[in-house]
Amino acid sequence: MDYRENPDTQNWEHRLVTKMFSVSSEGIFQGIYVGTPSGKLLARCNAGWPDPDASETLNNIKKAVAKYYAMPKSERLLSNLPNPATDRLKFKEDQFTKPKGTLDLRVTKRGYAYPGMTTFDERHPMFFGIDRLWFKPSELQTLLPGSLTVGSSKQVTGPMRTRWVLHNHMQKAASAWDEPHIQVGNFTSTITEVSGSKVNLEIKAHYELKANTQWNTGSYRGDLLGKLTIDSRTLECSAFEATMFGRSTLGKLLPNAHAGDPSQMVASYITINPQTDADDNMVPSNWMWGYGLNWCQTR
Amino acid sequence: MISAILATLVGQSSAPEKLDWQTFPQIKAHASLKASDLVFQSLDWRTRIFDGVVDGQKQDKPILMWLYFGDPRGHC
Repeated sequence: MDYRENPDTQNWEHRLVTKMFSVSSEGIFQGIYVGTPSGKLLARCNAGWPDPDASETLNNIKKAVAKYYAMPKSERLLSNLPNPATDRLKFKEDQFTKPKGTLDLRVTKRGYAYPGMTTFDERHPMFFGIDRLWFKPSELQTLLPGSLTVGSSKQVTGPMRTRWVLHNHMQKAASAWDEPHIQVGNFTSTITEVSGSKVNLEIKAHYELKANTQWNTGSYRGDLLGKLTIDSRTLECSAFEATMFGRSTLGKLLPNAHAGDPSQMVASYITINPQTDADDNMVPSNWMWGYGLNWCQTR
Repeated sequence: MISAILATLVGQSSAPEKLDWQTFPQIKAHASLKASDLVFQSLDWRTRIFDGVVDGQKQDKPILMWLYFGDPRGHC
């Protein structure tokens, strides 16, 4: 949710957030904060950089909480509850929803050690990445060979082939990839077992990407391997597990983000989203540029 | 015994030669979230400040906010 860019500046939530962070020299800025429901900022609590200092951060949170309870209730609380229908900000991504039957996958990824790495860089193996990857039924259908018999195989095309790499699920950093950057992208789906309408598939892919734009001059070379069970009638996936493994090379190291060798091996694991927490319901990070709102309009 | 444990630990963090069904579990383990990675989920997060404000108001509690440029999943 981009509070700074939301144009509805008269909205209750927008005004509360803007007022709260107006006392901070940097305004609405990334970090860990404690505030009151009435809209008063009590503290910026994150400590340590580039390595977070969890102990000092916790101390700062405890001090802010003590400050909260030392305030009169009339200052820390609102006089009235806001109205969700009118006072809650509306964001474009609220319109991005899963079409019925969409396969909701969770992607986790972590890089391997590389020369010169430091914790300044998110590619360091101590950091993980987590995201969603969605395929709607019409996209899942492209995995099924024409003949539903064991051993039948097909070359998969379309989003089922490209989304894994165009949305950065194979690398730790985020790069701007476009379809022409996929120089090699052989994606094969093979039936390994059939039981009634349940079809077990093995999926394999090999990717080689190279970009040469003002935003991205990086490259990637790696593979995908997985297995899934899909109902050929309903196109519902009851099991899904895949990994990606390959070498990601940044074209340009950014002084405010990267340190060490531009190249590293990266592992990704993709399985059905367990939806155990509120953030499991967040939309895929690439919802706007990767999927687009039109994607939601059809199944 | 000690060297066997060390070898296992080193093996878990170094990249295999290639991806196949033999190395699949090793690559899966490297990319999967560890218990320490999931500690953040022990907090009952809301994804909107509005929702945190409403819950804080109802329970008379301060709101803990984690703000990030763009998206915490790495798309700044």
